[in-house]
Amino acid sequence: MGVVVEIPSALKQYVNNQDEVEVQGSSIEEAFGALCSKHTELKKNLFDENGQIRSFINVYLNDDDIRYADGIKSEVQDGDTIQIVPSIAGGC
Amino acid sequence: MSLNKEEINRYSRHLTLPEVGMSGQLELKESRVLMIGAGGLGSPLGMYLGAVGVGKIGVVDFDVVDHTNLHRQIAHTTADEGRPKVESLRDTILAGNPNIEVEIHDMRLERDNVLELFSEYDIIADGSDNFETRYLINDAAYFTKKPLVSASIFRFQGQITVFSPESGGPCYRCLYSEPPPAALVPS
Amino acid sequence: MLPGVVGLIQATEVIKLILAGGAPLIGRLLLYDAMKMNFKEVRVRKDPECVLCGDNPSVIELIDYKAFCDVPLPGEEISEELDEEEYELSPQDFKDAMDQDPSAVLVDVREPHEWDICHIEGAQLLPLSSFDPVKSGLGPDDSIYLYCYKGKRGMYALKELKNAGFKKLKNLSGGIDLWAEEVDSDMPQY
Repeated sequence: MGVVVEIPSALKQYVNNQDEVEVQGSSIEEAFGALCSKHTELKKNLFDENGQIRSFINVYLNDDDIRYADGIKSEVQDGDTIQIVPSIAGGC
Repeated sequence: MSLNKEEINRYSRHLTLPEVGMSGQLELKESRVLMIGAGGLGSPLGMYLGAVGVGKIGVVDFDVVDHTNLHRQIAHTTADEGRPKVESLRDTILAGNPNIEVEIHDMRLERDNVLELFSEYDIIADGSDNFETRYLINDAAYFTKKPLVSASIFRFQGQITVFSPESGGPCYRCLYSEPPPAALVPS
Repeated sequence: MLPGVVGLIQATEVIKLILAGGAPLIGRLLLYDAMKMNFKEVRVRKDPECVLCGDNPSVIELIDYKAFCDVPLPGEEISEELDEEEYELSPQDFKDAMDQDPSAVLVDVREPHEWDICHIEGAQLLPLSSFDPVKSGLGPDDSIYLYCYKGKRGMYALKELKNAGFKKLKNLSGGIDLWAEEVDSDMPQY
């Protein structure tokens, strides 16, 4: 058992069109590291050149924003859900 | 303000709900809601706000009804192709409920017209389709102290929330501090 | 159908605010996924560092939103300014130039589902979402003719190619949409 990462529509194309991926890791950073090593295209869409999560993408551990925990260093446990939520602007 | 006989009959299923009742129905009649966007989100939004008896609905959009809109923008019909969306939506809303007022603004929301417009309404509903307008709406709602009901969609996903810094809640910039790079935004 | 569901939730929230009843979606972001058919909720906190409503706001009046939203792609900011017009061709000029150019390579940078709707005969598909000039298979001496839906993505691909050292580049102004209007009336528009 591991951590489930929920992938939004906008990023699905970088993970073989899966909408959730299960990975191993004890922190968000490790979980994303595992995810990006398998799906290299995802990395540049998720992180900026300084290794920070892009500012228009929010990451929620279970239902709270990791900005208000320890960011990508936040610890995760088996069974947790990491939700990636990008800013979207469509109205029509 | 009061309801006439026809209105009492029309809204009777509301009036018998304890959560709405006569006082709630009068609140609805007295309220003024400004919606930005008369497309996919604006169609059902405007039609329902009108049907339930929101007294004044403002609609902002500068687009005209296109053939490719019809499969999802249900306030517009095939006969409306080429008409301004605000006019088409207004007609649909008023056909459903002629007791209310629909004020149309066939224009692009800009820095120099937004504050005056917002000041004439109680609640702002954002169904716009681009980041520029969304940040403009957020900031203007904050400066005019209006609650902002925000909805956005992308492919098969939707996001809905209410921004109300006046009552201690976050604003759009608290949620997303910056828009994505322009190149990554699907046109 | 997705906008219908989302627009109705929006209407419900408006009405709840008017009636001051129930629990409004303040501080909560509702996520709807039509394909999974599920709703999720995440918490949205007031950011004390918010430039607008935070403790030390820097946005104290309306700003230039066009400039604010004109965020460059990573790497884009270091690339030299390029005169886009120099690389744009109208649909008819684009066609004429290709017809007379023996080393012409026509590249469609839209996504596969758009390619399935329509594409220009003889083109090859290299979607912008995974565009990599080095791995594209394009040769440095090829004359590359790019197109997308409306012209914007073609120009991004063109800039990436230019930065990678490609020299002979043209972009279809107005994309396949304008091409359908001005060159090929049998081409469907979407």
